[in-house]
Amino acid sequence: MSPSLPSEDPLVRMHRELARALTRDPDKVKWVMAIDLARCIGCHACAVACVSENKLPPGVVYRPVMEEEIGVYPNVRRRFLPRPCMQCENPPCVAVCPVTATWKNKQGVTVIDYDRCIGCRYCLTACPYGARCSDFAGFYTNATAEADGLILGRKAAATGYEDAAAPEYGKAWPPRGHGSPIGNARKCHFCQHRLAVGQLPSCVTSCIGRATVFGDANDPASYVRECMGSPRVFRLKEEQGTQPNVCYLA
Amino acid sequence: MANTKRSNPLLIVAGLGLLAGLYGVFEALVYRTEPTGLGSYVPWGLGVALYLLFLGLSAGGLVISIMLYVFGMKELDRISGLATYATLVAEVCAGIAIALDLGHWERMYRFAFTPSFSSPMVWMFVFFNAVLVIYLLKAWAVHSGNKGASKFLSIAHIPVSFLFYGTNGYFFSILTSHAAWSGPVIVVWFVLAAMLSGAALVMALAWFCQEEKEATVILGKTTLFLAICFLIVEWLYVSTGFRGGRPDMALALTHMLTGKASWSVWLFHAGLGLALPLLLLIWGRNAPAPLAWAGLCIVAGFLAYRYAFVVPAQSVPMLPGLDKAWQDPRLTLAYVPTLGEWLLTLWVFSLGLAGVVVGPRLFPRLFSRPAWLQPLAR
Repeated sequence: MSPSLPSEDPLVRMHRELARALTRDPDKVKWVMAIDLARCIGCHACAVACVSENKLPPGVVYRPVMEEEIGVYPNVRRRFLPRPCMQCENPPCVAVCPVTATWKNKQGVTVIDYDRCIGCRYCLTACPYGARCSDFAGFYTNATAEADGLILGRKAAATGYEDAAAPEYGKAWPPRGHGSPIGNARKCHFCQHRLAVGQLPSCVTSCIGRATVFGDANDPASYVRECMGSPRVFRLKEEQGTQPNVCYLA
Repeated sequence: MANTKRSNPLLIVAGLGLLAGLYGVFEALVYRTEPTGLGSYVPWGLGVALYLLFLGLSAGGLVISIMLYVFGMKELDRISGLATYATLVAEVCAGIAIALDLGHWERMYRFAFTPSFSSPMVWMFVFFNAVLVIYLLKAWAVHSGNKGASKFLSIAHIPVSFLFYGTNGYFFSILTSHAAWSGPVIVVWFVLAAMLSGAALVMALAWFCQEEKEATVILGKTTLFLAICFLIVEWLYVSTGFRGGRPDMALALTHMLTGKASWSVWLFHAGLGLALPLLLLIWGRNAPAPLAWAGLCIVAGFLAYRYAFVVPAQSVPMLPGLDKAWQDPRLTLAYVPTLGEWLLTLWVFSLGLAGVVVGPRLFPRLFSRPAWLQPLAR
């Protein structure tokens, strides 16, 4: 085997590092993400996995993949840029929230208290990355015809997905359509509910190119720390002074 | 409005508007933001524009207080009560407009229980209520003939009002993610815009409600001055926007001036709201009726100005290609207000009109000249 090829799947390594991080003092863990654009093939699996994991309704997406065409024929290249929440060190969305419904937790992840959010959408306008969405109470199954039976019909379709409670923040939310998070701001939270049980965020596990690297920035031996030290690293809109905790490898 | 020949038809119009707009209120109360045309990339639309419009209209009281107690124009004492009442009506309309724009209006108590003082919205809330309380007290003082309290409250509210209108500008100016909103000029522009629209409203009401010729003429000159200052700042905003080296700002301005809704900017803001009133203010400077109509034109045109400020600024993606990354009607840069939003707008306008029309009947002492002003009476 060529020495340039990885000896183990990065996912296995990241899982091992996650388990190690969870044994440490939670206050000393800092979750960060690195996305290697050279490995991203633009399959959008991360976006779909995120929507599925967090039971996101129509119009809410935490991790869209932007596509960019560079150059002029015949020298044309296509670049894909997944955009999760940047979990900024200096998040403008937190500073503008009038009711302290959003804050950075001890692991550096910006979270939202859905029961406190008033739905003013000030944070949506403040985020320079457009990383927040408002939940406008959409339902994928609205246009599905009603029909009897366990397999067909709106009810069956809805029960299978969007009526089920979202697992976000490890809280048992009521079936969709009954209060929050409808009317709230929503955003990527690095799958807090998965991290709590030793699972990597769904965008990381679903990345078939292993382009998304996740881990503890305070662990000097972690894969994500290795990536962050690469000379290829850049961050989005650094001039805004937000200090993103998600970096990209060009 | 004292003249029943004029006020009764207006009251019927306001009543019809309130009735027709009820559906918009119902939608906003029950379904919140769901039936709106808003999305995550254009999260603010007609509701915010409506709030800003009425917020500006509430600055009429500030203009009158400055002219009375800073520049000593005692002639305006006769319309002090009217300006106070107009400010209160506009504030109530602004409050309703913005409350019904929230995803969870029932949680507004959170402003008081879990405020974050780093948020300009909290300060906006604080100053909004401060202005409201001061004006309620002032209305009581004018109504009960308490001259000392009225004067004290008029002077006290000047700095509070400046803080309020300035905070509303600051609210937008810190949003660096939207180039067309950010920058210090916005704060100055907001204060000027509020004073211009507020003065225009009081000028119109001074003539149509009380037929105060002298006060209307004085306010005509003030409004002209404010309109010229407003135009200068607007030119600075557009000029620095195009030449300031920020492509996103230039793109937002291009959308504002040549986009799909640009006709409303040119027709209603530039034409009806500025050019026509300026002509009336200059040529009819000593005739109260043209001045009052100029005031109404400014008020009407200001909704287009507020809309143009709020919506096109959001038409530039935060990141290139973001609006194409995930296909959904709520994730585009297009925004068209829905029928429900327009009906809510109609309801709020009708409420304001009804308030102005029934004011002299409900609170006649606010509109008549108090005893201590008799020597100033014509």
